[in-house]
Amino acid sequence: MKQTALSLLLFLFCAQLSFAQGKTVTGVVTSASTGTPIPGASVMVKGTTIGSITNMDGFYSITANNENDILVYSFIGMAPQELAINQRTVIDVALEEDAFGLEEVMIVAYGTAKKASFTGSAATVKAEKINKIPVSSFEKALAGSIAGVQVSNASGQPGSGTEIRIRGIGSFSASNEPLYVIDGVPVTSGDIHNSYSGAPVGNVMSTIPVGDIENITVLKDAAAASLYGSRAANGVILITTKHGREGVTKYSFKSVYGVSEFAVDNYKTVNGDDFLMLHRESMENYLATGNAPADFDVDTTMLGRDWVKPEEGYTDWYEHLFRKGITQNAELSATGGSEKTQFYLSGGVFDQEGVAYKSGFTRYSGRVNVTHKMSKMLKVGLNILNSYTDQMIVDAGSSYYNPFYSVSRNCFPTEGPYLPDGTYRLTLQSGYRNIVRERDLNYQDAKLFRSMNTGFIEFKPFDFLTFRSTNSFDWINNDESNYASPLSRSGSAEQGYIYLYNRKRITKTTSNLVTFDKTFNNIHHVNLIAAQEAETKRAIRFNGSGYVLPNESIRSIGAAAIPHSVGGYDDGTSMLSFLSRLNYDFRNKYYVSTSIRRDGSSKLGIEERWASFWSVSGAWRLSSEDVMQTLSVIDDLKLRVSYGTNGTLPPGYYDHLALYSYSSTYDNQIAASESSISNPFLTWEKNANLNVGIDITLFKNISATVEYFQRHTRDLLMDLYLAPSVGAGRTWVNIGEMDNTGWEFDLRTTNLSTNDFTWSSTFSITSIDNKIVKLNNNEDIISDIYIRREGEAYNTFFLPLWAGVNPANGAPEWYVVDEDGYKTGEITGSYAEAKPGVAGTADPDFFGSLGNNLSYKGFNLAFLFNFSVGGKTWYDSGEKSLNDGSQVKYAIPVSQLDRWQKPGDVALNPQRIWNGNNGSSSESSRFILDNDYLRLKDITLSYNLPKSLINKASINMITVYVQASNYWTWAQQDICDPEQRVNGFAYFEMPNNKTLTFGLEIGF
Amino acid sequence: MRNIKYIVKLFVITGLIAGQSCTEDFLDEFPSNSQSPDNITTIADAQMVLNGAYDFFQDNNYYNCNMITENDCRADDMQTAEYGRKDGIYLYRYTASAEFDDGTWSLPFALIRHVNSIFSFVENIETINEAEEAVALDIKGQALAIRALAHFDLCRMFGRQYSHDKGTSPGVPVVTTVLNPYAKEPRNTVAEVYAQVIKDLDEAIPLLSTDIRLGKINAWAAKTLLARVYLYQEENVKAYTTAVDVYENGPYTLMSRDAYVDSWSNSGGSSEAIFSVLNNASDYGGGSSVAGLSDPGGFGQFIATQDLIDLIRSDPGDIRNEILYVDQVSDPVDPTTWGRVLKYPGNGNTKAIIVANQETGSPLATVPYDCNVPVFRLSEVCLIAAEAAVKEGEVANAKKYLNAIVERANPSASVSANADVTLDRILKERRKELVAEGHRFFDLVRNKRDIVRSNSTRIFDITTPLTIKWDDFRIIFPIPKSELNINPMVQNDGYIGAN
Repeated sequence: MKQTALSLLLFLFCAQLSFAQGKTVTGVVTSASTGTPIPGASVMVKGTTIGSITNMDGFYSITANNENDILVYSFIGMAPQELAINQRTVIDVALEEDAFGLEEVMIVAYGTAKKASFTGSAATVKAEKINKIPVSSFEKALAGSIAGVQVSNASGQPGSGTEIRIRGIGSFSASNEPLYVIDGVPVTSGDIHNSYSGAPVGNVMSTIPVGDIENITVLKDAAAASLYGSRAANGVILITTKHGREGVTKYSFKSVYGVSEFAVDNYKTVNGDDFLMLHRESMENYLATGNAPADFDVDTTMLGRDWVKPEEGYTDWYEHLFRKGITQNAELSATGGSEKTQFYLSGGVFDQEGVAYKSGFTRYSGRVNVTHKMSKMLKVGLNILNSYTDQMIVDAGSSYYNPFYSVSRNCFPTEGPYLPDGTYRLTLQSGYRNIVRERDLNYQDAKLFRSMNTGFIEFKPFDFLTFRSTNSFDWINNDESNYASPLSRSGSAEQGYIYLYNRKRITKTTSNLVTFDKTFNNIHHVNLIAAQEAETKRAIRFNGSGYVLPNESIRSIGAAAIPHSVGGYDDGTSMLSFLSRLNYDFRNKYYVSTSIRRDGSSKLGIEERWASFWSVSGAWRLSSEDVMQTLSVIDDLKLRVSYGTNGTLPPGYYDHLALYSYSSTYDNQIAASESSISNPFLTWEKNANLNVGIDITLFKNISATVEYFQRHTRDLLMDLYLAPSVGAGRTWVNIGEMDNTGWEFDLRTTNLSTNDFTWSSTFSITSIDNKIVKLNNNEDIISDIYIRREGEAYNTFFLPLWAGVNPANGAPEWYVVDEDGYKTGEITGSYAEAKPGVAGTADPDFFGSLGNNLSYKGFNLAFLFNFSVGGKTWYDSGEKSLNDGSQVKYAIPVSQLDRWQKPGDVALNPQRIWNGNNGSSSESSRFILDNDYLRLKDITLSYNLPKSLINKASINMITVYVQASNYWTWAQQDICDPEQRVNGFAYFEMPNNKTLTFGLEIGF
Repeated sequence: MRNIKYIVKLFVITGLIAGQSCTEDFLDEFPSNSQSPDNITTIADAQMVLNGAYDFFQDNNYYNCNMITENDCRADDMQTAEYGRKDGIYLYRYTASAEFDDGTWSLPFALIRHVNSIFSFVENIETINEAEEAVALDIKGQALAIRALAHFDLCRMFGRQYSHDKGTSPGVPVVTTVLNPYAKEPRNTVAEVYAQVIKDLDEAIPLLSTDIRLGKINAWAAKTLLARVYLYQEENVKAYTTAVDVYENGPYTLMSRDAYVDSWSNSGGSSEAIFSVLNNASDYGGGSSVAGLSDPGGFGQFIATQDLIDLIRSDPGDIRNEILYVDQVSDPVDPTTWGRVLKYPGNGNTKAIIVANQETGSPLATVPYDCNVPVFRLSEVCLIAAEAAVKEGEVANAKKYLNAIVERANPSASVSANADVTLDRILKERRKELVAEGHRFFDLVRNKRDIVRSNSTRIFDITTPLTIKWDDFRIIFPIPKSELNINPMVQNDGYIGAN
């Protein structure tokens, strides 16, 4: 073993000599980066089975055979060290973080694996990387952490969800979201409830406190994910929660305070003077066209609409609708236990006030994770999370009820929300309701309680054989209410209404696993597992509503004079699975893995109910070859290849059945109608994945992974629109094939490392090419603003192609397209002649991140940039806002200021003409925005108080930090936040925030 | 070792539980609110499916709103008051891809598919006695009549009026079977659609009950539709005969002058109501229903024009003044007079209540819009007879049926001189009597009269077209993009493909 020049061996005490036979060595194992003791680290005498584990204080004691023995110190996530005893009796060791994770033990499907021996493609994120970002759920903090993973925080509303795409878009209409597995149990994910207008806001993952998470593994290829079979086509995210450790109980306290505002200006509108000026200009231009009626007069029209500067000045509606959001979080946890029983306990309160008034999210949570060794062979454990969340919801989407949409569409600076007498204005100049009044009087909220219980029993009769039965019960109860006051315009017709919904999601799973793990002759290592699993899910809903409430302070359904509706359902789905995997490695050089899983699901027709998914993979660790040992620059080199299949299920429980629904009535009699067309052949979407990867570590401080992948999906599930004249709406079909091919590059370097100062960097970049390979009879499918066409990406826009503004006359122009919808050189000034054309895709050419971590003594500075290049986003309702003077009911975006005014002007927008300029604002690619961006996603400065200061108070650690999320953004377009939905459809969800957070962590 | 035995036992038990679930039964799951059509086996079951057809009428895309408002707003007596709802229709701005409610096209087709499914259910039901057999035939009759109505409604919105060119131009696809989901039906001519409509009605009428049933189609409702179809087709003799048959032989009488006002808020209908879509408290169509759009306290945007107000007010003795109400909208910025036609006031509501509420600023007691929406009533039957007669030169007959309506509204206003019995006069009476019931637009267009909005209450958009020629291309709705994208049928003249 070579001693490195940068040995971090610290001598805190003078070595005492001892000449006793059977050498006993004691010491403390600490982390080199934080200085804190490491409990549970392993200390082995090299070449023997003599071993010891450090206690809660990092202390160990080991008796070696003789004083020339070598001790091996190791711990998960740390680079192991080997030290000769050299007659010492006390050896304290500071372990360095294993920056490149070669020795890292990862949580993988149905077990763990050493990164060095893993044949699949997976990435891990440790809690430390994300736990300083103040988010309601962990996915929001993953952006940029992992190559190949696109994380889109389209909504900044507290408690809302996040879109995650692992290696592209694999499905047409079924889910593109990964499977989430918590402590070995696949769980419900996504949104449990929507806002009034259907925007997804109730993310189930936000029931799980980020502080309880120990690490996250993202499984990307078939070798890693195929064991999850029919649900794994979009990748798998494994979440492991913290667990107890033997030793003195450790307490940890964390408190956070953050302030948020919108990260960028979104759909900013012009100020009052410009508002008046632009309208006046469009009217004057109208007069100049000669088309205006004889009695048309600019001043009269302006006055008639009350478009004058009000005495009290213009109104900034943002002030009435938005505020500084406040995030507060307090967590207390305890870890400890005896040799037999170990526990992790935590309790926390997370409170986030949204930037929009009346939006917010509060969570109270408590967790108990306990394991107990009943005997040498028998172990039991139980993980319990109880979590209660209370969410105030503001609407999202293109609805006047959405304050964000409203402020950028319907609110003019020429009037405020109140009349001179202080009462609310009823109707705005735009003709829409006064959002401030509606917001003040009405509300929408959701109260969710979740109890997640996972228990296991493990029986290990021999070292090499383990039986483990994991059983879980997950109970989610959500109570939503949607109230409109009798005094509000929304509730006036009903004299006040209240809608109540109770939704439950009840999931029961059992997983029974046998693991055989043995090394033969020190060179053949075999790991074989076999398991049986079953899952049932029930979705239960009960809802009721009442009208006519006595006054605005009684908001109870019990006080409603008219009981309006009662409804509900109790539906279920079930799944049965068998799976097996064999891993074999030879001399830590050659690795082979193969897996198979067979799934049966109630979601599929009797003809297609069962399917098998499999994978084969191998790795060759070239650096273990003798010839490579001589190349000292290469520390590690591994080549991996995997191929396999996995699938996606239809999202609905009963999509394959022909059904008549009985949920409506006519004249108080039951009314039945067709709700679903039979499809007994409805089957899984099948995904075939190829992955080729190279892992390399050079010069001990550069580590890189390059991967190439191909995802080929066939039998794509599509919720196909049928011709309306057929009268059947839509139906689920398996149609077509799609490819996602791409590469990922991930680089981690340690640039500098001295005793006091370390600097490390990460860089990752991903490029994915999505392409539809096959459709039914090669027929295009046009769906709103998208076209699905063979050879094009799934998210390809299909709109008349905007050619810009004619500098000579300020008129709009479009490209003429050929019969396939591709651009010709020709230009037309007539919208009617501008047929829809292929207008680019929402998918970025590449995206990635650049991160740096600098630490000096107790200080640590970490920052992470995200970038995305080549993507596009659709400016929904651009045809209303960017109307060039043709419409009077919309506020005017600032981008309208860049307009044609005189011949020769090269302008973004055409000449403004009251009554419109040749259909310039009609739906076209004019509203598709190039969406390149660079964002400082996260910057954190933390300071660990010196031990000398705090140890006296018997405190182990005090960290203070300041963290900023999304604090700086450069975007190619300045219309809206660049983080939008993956399909590029900007849907007016509450935009992303930038947040400045102050935090304190104490360990004692 | 005892421990181990215990554990082995435990695993055996676990295995057994797991094993038990390893059956196909475990994977059979069925929904709670739906069932397979194979379970539709009795007359009672078929009756529920038939109820489902009427449920489609309650949709805001059909008689609960669009069928009425989107046609009335295109004519001269009703309009939308402001931006927000139906403004694109009022302003004739619609194209295949914008400002158009696709549901206006798709919903009647969904209804047609639904009724087409009823025929096979009824055929497969083994009836146990004659009474059941009669019910089965009646169900079939209703399905046929509904199919006829849906085709007729589609055809008059999406095709040229029969009277313009004898039905030679494109109408809508005629669908008489439950189509394959991937079918791409071409358009039939207007004449072919009318032929199918008449065939269905001729087949339906003998099967249908002749008893009064307000919420469902009976033989008289089918005959009223047939009379209306003949009138549109300019088969005036047939229109007259059929209308007179309903008037003379049917169990209905014109509602009296005294009962006129209250009948609109009576959930039981009136003595002349033949078929109305029944909405009760649980069928709330919401603010976007025709009732919500008519309610001054709701969206309130479906309003009468000044022309209509002036017309009704020109005869102060006309009872129909009592269902017209003119309010002053309380917006101080833009005070405007809005005319309200109180035909959808909700069960038990009167004009007095509504006016009082409006004046005190209290909310209106109109929830939950449990208003009947009349589809066929005897007043229309009279006016069909009068119009058909006058077109055939049968002035005396025309006068008789015209005066039935005129005198009911104001006994002293009857038309006496034969020279006054003109098509103009009858159409004027249709304006007064049938306003806000979805007739006016078709009355103008099928009689080749331009739409002239000389005196709208409220011009809220400078682009409001004031005169629309009867042969303007926009008179016919575009085939929406959602259809053309999948089924590239012929678009109506004037519209550019799916744009």
